[in-house]
Amino acid sequence: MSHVVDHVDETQLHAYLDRELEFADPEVRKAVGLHIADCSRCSNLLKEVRLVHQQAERLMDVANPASRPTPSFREIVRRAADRRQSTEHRIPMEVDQETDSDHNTRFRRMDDSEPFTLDPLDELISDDSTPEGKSEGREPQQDSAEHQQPSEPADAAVQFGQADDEIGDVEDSGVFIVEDDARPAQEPDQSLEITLSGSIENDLDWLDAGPGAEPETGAENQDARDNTEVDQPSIEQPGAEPAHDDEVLFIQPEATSENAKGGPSGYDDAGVVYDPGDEPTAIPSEEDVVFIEAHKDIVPIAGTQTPEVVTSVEDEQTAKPPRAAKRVPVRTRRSRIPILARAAVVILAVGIGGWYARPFVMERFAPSTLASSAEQLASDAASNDDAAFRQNAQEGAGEADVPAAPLFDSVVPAPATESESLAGAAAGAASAPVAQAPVPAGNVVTGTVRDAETGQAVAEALILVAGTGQVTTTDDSGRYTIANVPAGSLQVGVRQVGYETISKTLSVGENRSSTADFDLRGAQVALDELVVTGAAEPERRARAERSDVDASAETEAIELPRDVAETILGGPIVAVDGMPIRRIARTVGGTDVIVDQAGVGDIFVSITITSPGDVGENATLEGVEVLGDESAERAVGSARYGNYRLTISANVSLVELESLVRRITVAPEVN
Amino acid sequence: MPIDWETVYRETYKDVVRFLHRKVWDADRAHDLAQEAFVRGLGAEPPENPRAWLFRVAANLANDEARAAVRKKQHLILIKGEAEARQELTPTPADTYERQERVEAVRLALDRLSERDRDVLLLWDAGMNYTEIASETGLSAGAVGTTLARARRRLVDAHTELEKRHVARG
Repeated sequence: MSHVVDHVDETQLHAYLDRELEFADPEVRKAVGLHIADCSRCSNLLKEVRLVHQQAERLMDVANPASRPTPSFREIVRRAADRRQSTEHRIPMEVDQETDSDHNTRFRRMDDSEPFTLDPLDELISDDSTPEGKSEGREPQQDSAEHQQPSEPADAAVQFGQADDEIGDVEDSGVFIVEDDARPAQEPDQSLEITLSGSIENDLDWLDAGPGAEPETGAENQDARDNTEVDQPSIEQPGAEPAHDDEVLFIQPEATSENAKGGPSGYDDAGVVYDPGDEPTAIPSEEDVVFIEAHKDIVPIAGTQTPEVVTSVEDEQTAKPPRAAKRVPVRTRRSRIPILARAAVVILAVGIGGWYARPFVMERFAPSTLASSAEQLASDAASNDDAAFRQNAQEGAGEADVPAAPLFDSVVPAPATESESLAGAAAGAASAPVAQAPVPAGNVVTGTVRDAETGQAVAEALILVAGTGQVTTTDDSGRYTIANVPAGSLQVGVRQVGYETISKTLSVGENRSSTADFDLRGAQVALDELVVTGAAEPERRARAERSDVDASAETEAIELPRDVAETILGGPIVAVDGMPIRRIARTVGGTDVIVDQAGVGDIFVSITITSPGDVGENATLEGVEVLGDESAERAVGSARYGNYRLTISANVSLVELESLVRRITVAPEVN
Repeated sequence: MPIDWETVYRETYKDVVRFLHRKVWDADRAHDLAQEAFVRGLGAEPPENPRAWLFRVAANLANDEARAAVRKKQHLILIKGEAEARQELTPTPADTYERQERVEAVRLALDRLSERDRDVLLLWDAGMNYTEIASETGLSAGAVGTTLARARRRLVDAHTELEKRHVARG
């Protein structure tokens, strides 16, 4: 089927360059290409459109976001599960509040319509765990700590009403604290909703252990409690029967204080728990401790659904158990143990622990131990194939320029082994343990890179500090600065296309600026490392057929027989996180290929043809092939092809990417 | 058919971040909103086209973000914060400044586009094809081509004009 093509307009040419609309059809593309080749008007217009097209693409690339580590999919799943749970289990319940003469604030449920069973929190406040029954009344719990779960509701939080902000945290002991100014104004008959949210399995476990808890539960918990010294919240049960048909557990945060005071909690006429003796007896505090009651039967508000435990696959994948939120009535009173006192205890405990840990720390980080570790690292480095780098690591110091091509292959920011990244520092570690030393902010390496023959500045040269992943490029004056380098012996290398790659080892002092200037000598670039081949293989032939080239033309393929580092990219892809590196990596048949941006560990690479050369002005980066199975292809992620640009988004490490990418193909396009 | 969200996540996350960054101009927020989009995806009814759905949600999140920023007058603060974050990542102040200027110029140029032109350009830049963009924007595929061509030219023209002004100011 032949296609008759009239003149093409700007929109059509954009679609043509985008390979969109009818131009995705090879036949149409071919016909349009032939027309453009014969039509000076359309040919000129194509040049204009292509220029705009390229400029727009490059402008968009400028605004790439700074690279950040991609969170694991598991984390996303966990967050989704958290949200689902917290949404499904948020049970609105209206309460009003009263403040008595003792400044006790009691929250009373207002809505008394038909209750429903609160699943899955039944697991937490179940009859099984309280076999005596909720309405039978119980003796005040004298040793309630024995029944308290040792789990920590670390993520639990509390909020009032519809407020977006959480206004209190649930402490490890189960107490939740609300600052005075965060608590809503106490107005009569005010509808107040309070949400307690936390993980079902962990965070809210402490709601579970009622006074009639199953013996095995109590025994299990007792073992755990024996190992903890922190205050555990206790659970009190009132002596009076609650007026409401509620299962009520009363969390008494400061068991010691409460028991010492001997004032158990009770129920008021409406069944709301309160503590008759809640005057602060310990150190006065400016904060309120809110006691939490968990009700088995909670009045639903129209439209709410009975919550269900989410037991989907997502839950199984989550690192943390699903979360639940539960609205509970609370009451407040003055704290018996102020937060400052607790903080003091923690600080004291840490201090004591640190003192007792001191001998271990001293031994662990003694100079002799570090020296031994350094020797081990140097020994590990000896197994590396990079002989030159290994030699430098073992020599440790000196300022001789050395051939450093292997340096860039072994000290990229994402080294394959720890020995690679630490080897440079390891050699000098016996005298100066820089390998693990903190990096002072003031350590700076600066310098200038010049052409050894002409003395002219070399711009865009790549500077890399071995073992740190720190890189930068020289400016137009050939100058560079790398801040925050570790003190000690450092190996700094420089690479630029057309020059020999060299490195220096220098000593960097604390909070000092060290200088490393480089004079680069010209090098014969072995362009023939890259093999430009015809489309001999069936798949390449198929690509050629798909493209809009003349049927007799061959698809040019840039072979990457080994890895990207050694061929098309001219070296490892290195970049400071978020900092684009723009450098000419290799010239292939007159075609300059630029590595536009690369991140470490979170790879984003954009390869751009800037001067088409022999490949043809209209060449298109057509594809990238990766080694391995489907998982490898998935790891590399998406590759987007367009005129002059190939973008690889990879969720793998740099080393993995280099090993995965085998071949990048370039297809000529009709001019 | 159940959605393989993990694969969608691997293949689309960066594109969504890239798309969002050109809307909120804050890398951290772009990442946060992208993650939020995926979190919502996992909690929603399985969409027919997860990728398109994600971009739609991302666009809405970005719009909400922009409205919030206007309300709170935080836009400049966000940009400042982003600049500071970049400064931490870049080794030299000169590099940082230069990059900031380049990014700011592109941002200003994009701001000069109509919302429709900008959306189409961003969706294309995020990896969507004309058909997908048409589905998301309600335009016909042909209109997408027209819009995209116009958006590119206007972006380049706006950027060129801004550069000239910058040079004129010295």
